[in-house]
Amino acid sequence: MSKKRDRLQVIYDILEVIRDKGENIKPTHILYKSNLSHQMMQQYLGELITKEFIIEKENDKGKTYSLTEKGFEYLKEYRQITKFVESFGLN
Amino acid sequence: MVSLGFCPNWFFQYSIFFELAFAIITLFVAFQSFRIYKLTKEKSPMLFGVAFLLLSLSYFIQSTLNFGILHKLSQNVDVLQNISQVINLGLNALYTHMIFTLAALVLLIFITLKTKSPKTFILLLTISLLPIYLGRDPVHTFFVLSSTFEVFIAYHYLRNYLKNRHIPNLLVFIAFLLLLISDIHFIFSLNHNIFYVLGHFLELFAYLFILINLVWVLKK
Repeated sequence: MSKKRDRLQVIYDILEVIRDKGENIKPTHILYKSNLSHQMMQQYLGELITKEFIIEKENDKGKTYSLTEKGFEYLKEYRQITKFVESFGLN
Repeated sequence: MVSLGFCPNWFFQYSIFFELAFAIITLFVAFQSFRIYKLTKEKSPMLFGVAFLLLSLSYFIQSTLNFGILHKLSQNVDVLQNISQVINLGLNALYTHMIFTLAALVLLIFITLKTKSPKTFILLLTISLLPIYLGRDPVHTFFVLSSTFEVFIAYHYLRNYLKNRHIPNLLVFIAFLLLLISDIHFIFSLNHNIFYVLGHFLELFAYLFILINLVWVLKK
């Protein structure tokens, strides 16, 4: 599997975990489900926040994450995204 | 009738429609690339979109200016004045097409190199455009340069296909291979203008392959 495909797949997996869990998922749950190192997960979460795919909330129990509309859109169009990126060699 | 350079006179009006078709297809690819960029926020679909937008602009401008030439030739007002205007329009069409196409190809090369440094892009673009302005034979130089770039791009898509042997990847590889062969035909068209016609047909097939792939991508 190509490098970018992996990246797109990892992003998909993280977003899917957050969507399936519903609102306000904790980072430990994402770490467990996404099968990433803690450092990698932090990098991806940071990137997803910057890209406005997820939002981070902080309360007395710690940080939680939930999907934005852009995040839902990514999940919905994922098949088309991978088909485009793969066939035009953008991975 | 005034000779239209390396394009056979009988084909000139048809070439305008060919260029218009290329402009529409490449614009469609650019639009879809920007849509994918909007969904993923990844840099490569954005750059790919810009490359195809440049290609689309190059064909639109070429098609519009060639239409202008055809219109001027149909007017029988002042022959000498008309010829000078036709030459000016032809040169503008040619130079704009060459500059936009080279910029698009350099951008595609930049994507295949997987480098993030904008300096690489600026360097490649500078050394591609300088011979067009300073060289003695800019048209010949343009076709040689674009063919060289397309060898690299076609090789990238061959590797992409060998990595994932799927039909869409094969279609895109064939499309860029046809674009390379069409550019080689354009080099020969400087001496035998039938190659100009063949080059246009090869280009048409290339863009149709890209369009077929895009339709497949958009299919749910």
